[in-house]
Amino acid sequence: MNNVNGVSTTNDIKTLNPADMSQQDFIAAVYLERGEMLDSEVRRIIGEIDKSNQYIDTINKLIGKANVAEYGSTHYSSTTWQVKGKNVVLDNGYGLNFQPDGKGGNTFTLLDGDGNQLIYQNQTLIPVPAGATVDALEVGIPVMNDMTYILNDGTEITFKAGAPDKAFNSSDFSGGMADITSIIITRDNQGMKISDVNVAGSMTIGSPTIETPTDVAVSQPTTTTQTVNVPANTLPMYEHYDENENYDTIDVVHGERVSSTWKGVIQNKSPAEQAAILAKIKSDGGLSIYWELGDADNTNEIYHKTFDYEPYANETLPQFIGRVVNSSKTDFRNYVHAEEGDIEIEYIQTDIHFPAYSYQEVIPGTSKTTKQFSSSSINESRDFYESENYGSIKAFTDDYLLKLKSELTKKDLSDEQIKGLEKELQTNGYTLNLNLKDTDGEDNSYGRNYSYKMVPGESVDGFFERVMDHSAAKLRSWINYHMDEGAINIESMSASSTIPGFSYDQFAPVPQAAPNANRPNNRHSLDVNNHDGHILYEAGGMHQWEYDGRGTQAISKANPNDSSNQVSGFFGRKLAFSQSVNDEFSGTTPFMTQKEKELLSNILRITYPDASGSGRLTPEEWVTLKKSLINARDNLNGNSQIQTVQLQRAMQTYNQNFEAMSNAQQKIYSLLRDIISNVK
Amino acid sequence: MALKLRLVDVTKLQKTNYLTSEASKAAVREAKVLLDKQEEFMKNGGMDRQKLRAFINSDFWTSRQKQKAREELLNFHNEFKSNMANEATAKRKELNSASRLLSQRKVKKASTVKKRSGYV
Repeated sequence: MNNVNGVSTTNDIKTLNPADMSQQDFIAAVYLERGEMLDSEVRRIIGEIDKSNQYIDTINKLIGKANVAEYGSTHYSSTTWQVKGKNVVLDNGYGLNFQPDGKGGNTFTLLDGDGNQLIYQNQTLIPVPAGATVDALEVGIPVMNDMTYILNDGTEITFKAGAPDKAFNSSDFSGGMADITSIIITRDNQGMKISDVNVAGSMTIGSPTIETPTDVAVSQPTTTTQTVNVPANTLPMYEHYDENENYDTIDVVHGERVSSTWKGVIQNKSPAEQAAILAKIKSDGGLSIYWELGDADNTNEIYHKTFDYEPYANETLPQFIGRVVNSSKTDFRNYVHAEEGDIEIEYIQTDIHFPAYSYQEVIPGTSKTTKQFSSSSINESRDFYESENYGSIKAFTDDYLLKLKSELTKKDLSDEQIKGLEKELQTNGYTLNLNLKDTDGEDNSYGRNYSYKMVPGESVDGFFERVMDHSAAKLRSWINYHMDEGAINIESMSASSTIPGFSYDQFAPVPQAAPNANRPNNRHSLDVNNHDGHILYEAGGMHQWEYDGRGTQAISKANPNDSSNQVSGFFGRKLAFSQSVNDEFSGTTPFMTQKEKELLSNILRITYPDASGSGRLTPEEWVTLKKSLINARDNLNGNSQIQTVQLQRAMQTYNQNFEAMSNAQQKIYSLLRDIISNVK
Repeated sequence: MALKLRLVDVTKLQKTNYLTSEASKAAVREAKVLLDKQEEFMKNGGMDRQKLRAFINSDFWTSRQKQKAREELLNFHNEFKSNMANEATAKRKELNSASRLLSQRKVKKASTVKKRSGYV
């Protein structure tokens, strides 16, 4: 390095001979002064940049924690930690590895993703920043009692301390140091234990285990089943054909009517119910269908026949019933045709006989109360002014059907009530009373009661439609055919019936699964069964820990021998950890360290929701904070860019000045010749 | 529909905070090297700040010379400061325009109110 002209290396300005002094010396000195000036400016900017970068670093760590809180699943379904020989790999870049210490025990190193370490040796935990060396006495944390280190992601690492070789002596701060005997690592429902850490040969690293959360709300079954016993029932069909002379009426018209009426009903039955019916038919050896036909040709003759069918293997119930109807209608037609010849069909009746069966019905799984619904009667009468048309009967029952349906609508039945009504109609049935006054020839009054049972699977409306159709047809056949009335003058008709009262089951509403206000507490039994002891929080890496709201290096305690005196350093830490405590850390989400809280409130002036008041934010609060953090980071980002260009600009001048000074002294002179001439 | 095209100079877009802090760290590293050089130069030159001041202010120089030197230093300082301020302002403008370019702009909807012709 060239010396500045005339300035010697003796460090003493007085040795300069004033006579040798030149203006060049003065100029050089001014240049040096410039350099000094630039120096302080550059240092100031560097300080600012360092600070910005530090803030950005902390903010990024906080954003990382917010991300863990927001996206990190705290409920493990399988283990994520791995044991590889003497290494343990934890989540989020943390790890642990063991080495024998050569004295019969083990040392170990806890690492974070950035390479910072917490080294255990000689009963001391030494935080070491990545790529640095430290003095164990200056930063070491003495192991005296159980202590738990909480990592940024909420992982708890509990060090269980053995008995000290020598009890702690508070007068000279000696003794009290103990071996770490076992290490318990838990994070929510994942946990593992490393035992006999202090015995090199017998140390065992247990496998990580997952435990099922104990407090998950027991999910209530929402449905259950009950056995429904259905008595033997009949699927009837009755139609009046008004002396139809065509045999097609039997199979084409009536057969089709049977199919179309009952197909839907059978298909509407639940699969379980269909299977139960089919099974019962099979075990009974088959099912019978009854056909009856009233013939008015010459002498009235009634033909009836019962057909039996067995279901085939692989045949479903609807397929089977379809086959029953199709086969029997042809057989019955042929049978009647063989017996009768010319025909005048008055009416045809079919009955499909279903056996009794039982099946499982799905009902709500909640408590039920049985309630009653009262009966109501419906009466209707109408004058027909001596109508000669038998069709008036159907017109009247159609009327009556509308009135009945309207009554039902008015009742505004709930689903549960409709089900009760259906049950009642299926078991006890419904009876319709029809009366007709005839004035043809002698006055006749025809009154008939028709009883029907609802078929399971039939709708209420469908049932009453069927009842009215059949009743009208039956009454007409009765008067016209059985009573041999012939021509008619219908004076009036009346009908009465009772919609039966019924009982129904009301089920309590299925309870909504209440959202759990607290996150489920999935604590692993290893954590629950072991006290955490002194709790230390990671504050930016494995090399920085906070205890009681301050960094471990800043712990100071009142001197027990002299209360006016504070003890700091290693002995201060010994005092702090000399008593055993049983604190518990119960967080499941990341927390904020004291340093981070101070940065937010004092420097960045970010306010954030914190219901706990202690920096233990809920995941929702973390998400809110994250937005502010990202804004702050963007601002700092801009600041940092401005500072960087300022620094670069400063360095340009600085460089020129330095070059001028050190390498081109001749240049200095020529550059400042003007000044010099002015100075003269 | 009229389509508006905007030209974006991607080199002026805001960098991620990682790149920014890496860039600033690199600048700091460079600066520190030079600071060390300057320090060493001063040490080799047998100077420290106080001695330098004393030397400049000593009676070896006329008051006119000293006055001139002070003025020169002051000018240099002012010039240096304003250079840096200019640089900062330029950067700030660049950041502003970059963030403006990055943010979404509301498109003004064409008014549906018809202008009255004056005749009813």
